[in-house]
Amino acid sequence: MNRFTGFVKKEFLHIIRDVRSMLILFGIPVVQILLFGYVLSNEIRNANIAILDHSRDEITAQISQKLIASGYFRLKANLNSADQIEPLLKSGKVRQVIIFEPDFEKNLVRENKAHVQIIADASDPNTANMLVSYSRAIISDYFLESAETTSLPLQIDQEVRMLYNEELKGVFMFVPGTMALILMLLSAMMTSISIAREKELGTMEVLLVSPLRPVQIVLGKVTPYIGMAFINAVVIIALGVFVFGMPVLGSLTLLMAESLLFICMALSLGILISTKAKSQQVAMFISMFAFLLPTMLLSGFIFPVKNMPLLLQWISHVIPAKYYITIIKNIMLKGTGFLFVWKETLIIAAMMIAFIIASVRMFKVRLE
Amino acid sequence: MRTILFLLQKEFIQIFRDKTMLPMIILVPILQMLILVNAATFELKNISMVVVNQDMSATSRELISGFEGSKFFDLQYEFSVDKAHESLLDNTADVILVIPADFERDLIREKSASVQILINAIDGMAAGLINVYTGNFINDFRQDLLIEWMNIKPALRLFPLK
Repeated sequence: MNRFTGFVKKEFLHIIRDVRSMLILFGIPVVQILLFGYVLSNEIRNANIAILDHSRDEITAQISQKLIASGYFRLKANLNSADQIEPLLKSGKVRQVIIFEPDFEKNLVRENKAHVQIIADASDPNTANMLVSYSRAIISDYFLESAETTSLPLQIDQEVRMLYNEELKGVFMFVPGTMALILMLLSAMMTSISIAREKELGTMEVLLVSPLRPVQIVLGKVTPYIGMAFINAVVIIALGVFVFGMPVLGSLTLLMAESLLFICMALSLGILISTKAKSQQVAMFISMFAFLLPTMLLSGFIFPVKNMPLLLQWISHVIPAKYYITIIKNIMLKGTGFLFVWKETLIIAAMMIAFIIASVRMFKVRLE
Repeated sequence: MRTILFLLQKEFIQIFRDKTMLPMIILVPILQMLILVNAATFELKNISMVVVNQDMSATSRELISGFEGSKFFDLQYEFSVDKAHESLLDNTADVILVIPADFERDLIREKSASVQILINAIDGMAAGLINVYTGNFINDFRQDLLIEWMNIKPALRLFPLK
């Protein structure tokens, strides 16, 4: 046991003395969470639009007013002719153009219908979709509120409640996702690299012939990272709570315990990779490809998994971060207890055990 | 100049000999492309909606059948709000539609009624879209009722321009 603590101490010193390792361990998570929190927000606010009003009557003025007052749009230009639309959209200065037909009010009164055209820059289809839906909702809202309809009978009042995130903040999506991403990347990448480094430098041979048993070597490699990743988890949660105002409605102890479990799972995955990788470069590449992309795309971090093709949905079931993100959201935002996350916890634990068994099988005591 | 050529040759041989890196260099971008194109979408196609219909009248059923016919909504049914709430908590539903008892009676007698819409808003953007979709459906339903029951054609109605 004394040998083991000595080994762990050596590993600790390795990490702490290396400025670059320390930067990766503690600098990147903080920068990343701040960047994601402030920059990567997909809320729509003040999108630039232009209005081409052929009619210029009272109703079109009121609708325009209502669109701009909504806070989603900012009026960039009032156009005079249809020729101006295309250059303006091409220049990228506006995301959307709204066109009212000539004699809008007159048509509305006489024929009971009038036309509005919405042209959106769909080179970013997601944003365009949102902008068009918002504009349509605002315009139909105008008609619903206008005197003529409210006086009609058969009102259906919709009491809408936005649960768990009343202000619809984007951060509530990004903090759990970033946390999973960082813990996954750091834990798995750092361990796999540190074991691969010993192989690359040839010092693995020295370790293998030393009185330390293989299990002790691997555990010794991993132990410092458990501590560091745990500190990271605490830092990220603190940033989420104090900088971005996220609540922790559920039990903090449960949250930390789940994080610890996730970290251990990521570390055993790192060990598994290092049994395969012969050099740091390969270890790095595998961890980047196996973790970064799937964790970003298929875990429900940014894009909802439900709307992807079936094949990708199946793949998403083996992405550990998916379960961890669900757990964090449930505990932090919904305030649920263990009863609502036991399935996910069990899956992560099972993954961890599978990775450990696989790496024990593949760990070679001899070097080729 | 020739030295560079030899160096190049050496580098190429090294890359092609490396049996782990070579497939990665080629496969990774292809896989990345395939996954990204299909995964990166905010579109909402399958909104899981739990309907709590406490009214059980012809009108409320008609309202629900509108949602049923839509390709945007996957419907489940619950009898109690608490049970429905649970499905929001364990992520099996995105939105709950509660039609209170006396929905039809209120519509007939008082000419107005209310429904409750509870949305899981952790993904704020999706929640905004769900709200818009649901709202449009209910408004359409009301317009149909106006025509059906009172034979009133709402003077102002929106038509999407094709």
